[in-house]
Amino acid sequence: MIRAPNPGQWAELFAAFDTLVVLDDGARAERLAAIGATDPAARRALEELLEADANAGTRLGRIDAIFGAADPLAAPERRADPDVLHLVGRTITHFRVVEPLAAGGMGVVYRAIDTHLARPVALKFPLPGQRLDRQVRERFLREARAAGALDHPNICSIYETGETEDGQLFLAMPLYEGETLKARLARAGRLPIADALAIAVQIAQGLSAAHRAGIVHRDLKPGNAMILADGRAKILDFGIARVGDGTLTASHGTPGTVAYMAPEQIRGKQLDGRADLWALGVLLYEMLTGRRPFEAEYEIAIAHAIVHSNPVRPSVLRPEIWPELDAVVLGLLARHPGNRRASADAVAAELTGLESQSVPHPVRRWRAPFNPSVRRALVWGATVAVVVTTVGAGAWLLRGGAASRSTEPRIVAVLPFEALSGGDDTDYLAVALADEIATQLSRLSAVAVSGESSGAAAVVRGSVKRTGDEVRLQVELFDADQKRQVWTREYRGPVSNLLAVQRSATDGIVAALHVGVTRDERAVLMHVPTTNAQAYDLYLRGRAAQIGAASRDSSQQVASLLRAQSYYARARESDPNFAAPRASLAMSHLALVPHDRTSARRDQARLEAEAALRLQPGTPEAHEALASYWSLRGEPSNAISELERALAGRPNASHLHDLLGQSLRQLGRLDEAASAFERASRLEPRNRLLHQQAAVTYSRMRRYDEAIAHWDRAIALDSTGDPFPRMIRGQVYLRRGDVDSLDAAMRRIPLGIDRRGMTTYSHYTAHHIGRRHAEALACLDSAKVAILFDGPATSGGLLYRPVSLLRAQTLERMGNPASASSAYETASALLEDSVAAHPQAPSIRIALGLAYAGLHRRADAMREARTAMELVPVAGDAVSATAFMGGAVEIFAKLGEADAALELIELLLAMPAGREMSVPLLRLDPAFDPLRGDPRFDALLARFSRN
Amino acid sequence: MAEPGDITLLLRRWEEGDPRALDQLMPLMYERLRQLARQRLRSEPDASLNTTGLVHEAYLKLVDTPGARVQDRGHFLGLASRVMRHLLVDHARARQATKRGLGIAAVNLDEATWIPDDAVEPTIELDEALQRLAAVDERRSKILEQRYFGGLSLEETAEALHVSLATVKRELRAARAWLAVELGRDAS
Repeated sequence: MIRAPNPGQWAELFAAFDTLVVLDDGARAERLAAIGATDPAARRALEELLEADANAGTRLGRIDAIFGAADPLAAPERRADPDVLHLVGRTITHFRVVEPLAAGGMGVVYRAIDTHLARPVALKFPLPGQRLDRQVRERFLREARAAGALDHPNICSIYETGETEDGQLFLAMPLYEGETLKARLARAGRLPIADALAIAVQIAQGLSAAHRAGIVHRDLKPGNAMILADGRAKILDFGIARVGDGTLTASHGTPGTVAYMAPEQIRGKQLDGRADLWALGVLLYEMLTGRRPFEAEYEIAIAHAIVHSNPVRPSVLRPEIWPELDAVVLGLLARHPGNRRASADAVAAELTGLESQSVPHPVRRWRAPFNPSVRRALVWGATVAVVVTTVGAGAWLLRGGAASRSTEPRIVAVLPFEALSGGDDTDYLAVALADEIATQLSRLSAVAVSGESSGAAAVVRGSVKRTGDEVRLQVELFDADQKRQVWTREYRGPVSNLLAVQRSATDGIVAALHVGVTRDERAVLMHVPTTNAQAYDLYLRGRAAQIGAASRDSSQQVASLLRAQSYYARARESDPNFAAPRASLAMSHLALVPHDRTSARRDQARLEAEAALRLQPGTPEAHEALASYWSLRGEPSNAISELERALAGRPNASHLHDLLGQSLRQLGRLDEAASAFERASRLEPRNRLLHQQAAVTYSRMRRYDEAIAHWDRAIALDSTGDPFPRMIRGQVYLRRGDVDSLDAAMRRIPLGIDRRGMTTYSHYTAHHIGRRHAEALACLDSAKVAILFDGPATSGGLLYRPVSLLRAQTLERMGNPASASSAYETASALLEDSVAAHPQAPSIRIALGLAYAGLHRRADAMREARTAMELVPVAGDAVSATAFMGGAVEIFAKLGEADAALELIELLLAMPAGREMSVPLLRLDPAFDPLRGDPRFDALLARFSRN
Repeated sequence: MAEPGDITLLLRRWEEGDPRALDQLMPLMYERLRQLARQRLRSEPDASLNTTGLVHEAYLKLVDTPGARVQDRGHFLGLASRVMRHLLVDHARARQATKRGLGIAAVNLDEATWIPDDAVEPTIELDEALQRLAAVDERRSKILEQRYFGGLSLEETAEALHVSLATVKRELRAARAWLAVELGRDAS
């Protein structure tokens, strides 16, 4: 404790600390010396503070961890981020981190890829804020090595220990596919006796190996036992629990752990392997009866019961349990360790003996999917009879079944199902089940899900009928190439288990599509999001309402979305661990943002998305919601991270690639943005907006050929005759120097529609470049608007040209100075008013500058040019800035300010995103005539032509 | 039980300078936060002490209405952090009393699970340290209180205390150093 100088002095001390802490060592030492000369006590206090500051992260580590408050000077502020250690995407030693899997009292676990051996691994880190001091670190490593040395099929092995660049320890372990016993118990309640025994035997065998090596687990519980796809059981978190004697992890205090603690553990006595066996007894009891042997309403009472009371015999709770089994379980739960079996080996042997006594049906293990009918009965529980009633005639194979071996995903359209029975009770099912199936399919990398059938290789259609307590879902697969139905099946199930019906149908569709499914994807498809039927039903109702909102008009949209939200809220009440409604709730909040632009609305979206991720890390919809949130907040880099995570779960969602491209473009990462848009347009080839995005991005990089290719496709897909894409394409022709195409394009744009003057501008440009000034003038005279590109977007627009200004310039070029002058006057008057109305709009100032230049008002023109450029700094928005810089060049050229003009031209030509300026444009556009003949101009053109 | 409207109303009155409003506000918020904490635990039984989100959830439930103003949020979060502190410290003291055998019934029901066993002492220590800090620098003490007990972000703390983000960051640094020294006897 700092010897307290009088309270009044603290204010000075803190002030001094604030100054000192940011000084470098030399300056700091000097200041301290100066202070110490007059007040040694103050100096000591400051030194103590400074030293503490240097180690604050470590010294406050524990309290930070307990309260979940990270060191603010270390990590950026992101609360409730599943990527707690901000490792996703990083490479640590030779592991590339992919995504967070779990975070809890035991530490933080990530999925990663071992880049040396090309295999997936799990990386486990201690909790953030728990920097370990040297002694504790060494113990961590020693124990990890011991556990790593345990090579037993029932113990989670450790591949290696490692250390990050900043000295944080971690473990690399195999990535297991399966579920924890905890999840299994939560899902299934009690297990079949044979299964319970099979698992218990394996755990006992694992314990045996560990005890022989002198390691006691001390924290065995359902959360630490994993059941793999092939039925093997593995014990996790081995030996680590021993490190730090409980001060390392906070998990020892979490509820549920007391329930598995042996009496001697609660009493704080010395522990040995028998404590593990006690825990095994509790596990076995729980697997057999679905209840724990010692339960009470609060921790202390549980502890009391463990120490003092006897559990109810398992056979009382479950009559099939025969006396020998009873005895074994109670034997493990003997209060005094001396009365318990001492040897895990012996226990394993006894349990094996019992296994053979159990009812002789085959031991059912948790099986990985793709043995359809058998698996369904197992996984979805005996109460669901999902019956396959009709199998469609006709070949299963989709043509191009070989596509599953190709790298391009197959486009599969999922159309909304028909509701065959009438009424609200079925309508929502038809919409929501189709949506759920589409969502499941979107998890597959071999499939791209589309909402409309044109362009799809396969179409999923279906119908829903509800009779009494039963739901019938009939689905069919229609092959677009063969133009016929190739597969159909009907699934029936109770209304009380819609999830089973949906999942069965999904499995059937996936099988019928004959596409490759990876192991990870299988696991995702198999994941059971909720076991609460009511919650799932409410969630489906919510989804139907939310999907319905999109097709309604504005006032009804809000009502539908609010209704959806209320369903989600009710779903959450039924099952608070169900992540999907939270993610959908987040999306619904975002859908309401146009109607409610408060920050609170989008904050709610964020909260719900984060909640969903806590419940189910990796949920793509939640990441998508967070991406939208960050976009709204104007933080494209955060949006990009979230989009990447969303894409990990939905690799072929074109809209995600689109959003990704937009965010990347905002950050100036044009190459990546173009790739993203390319990907999006390949996944949704009929969407012209995606081609437009790609085109605009390529334009900016001066990759004109690719830009034009995309513009061509966008125009081909547009049936409305919209002049916009044609106009922009014309501008690209111009910058490519392709005057012929420009002319041809112009001829194809009818003069009729002139939205915002785009048609006029297209024609004018062609004539202007061709130096056909009379035609240009005629074109302007027949313009339907006074100002080209005027509109609500005026203040943000890139181009603003009063027709009078263009007339003035054209007249000037035709050698008609008097008329030109008068036109310039008209233009400048109009523009001065516009500037007064929109002082922050750079495009208007550029136009005004051009008008002043025409009137030889040099100083005014220069001022407008500079103001325009100052209004949009390059860092803020690279694209806008280059547009205005191009305008400024025109002004400087007109004024004869060659130096200023050339300087800017050089800058624009050198910029990778400087679409506005290209060498062909400079050669062709009459606006740059004043610069021709200047050797520097020619030199610039020559230099940049070589690229 | 307190309706959201009550709390907003009292919040306003307090902002307008009515000191009695605070006296009424605190117990209401205390009770509401306690409810929320209990609900939160029921739905996430494995959560160890983590106030992050609780205070925000309280804000969304109690104050965030169409009429709510920006200032309300800052004030609310600051107050809620203080209330959260009381809640947790009261609870920790009760647990401590229980451990010393002063009666199992001192702590009831699922509240027993709010704070892990090994967080009981640190909670009390932190509270006492913050009290000592408040005696010499009230704002720094509040910053730590909001950070730890309220789970507020730096921006929110700035909002609650009506200072700039830069000020919060600067003062937080010294506060943490001070705290590290105060708690510093054992490095763990």
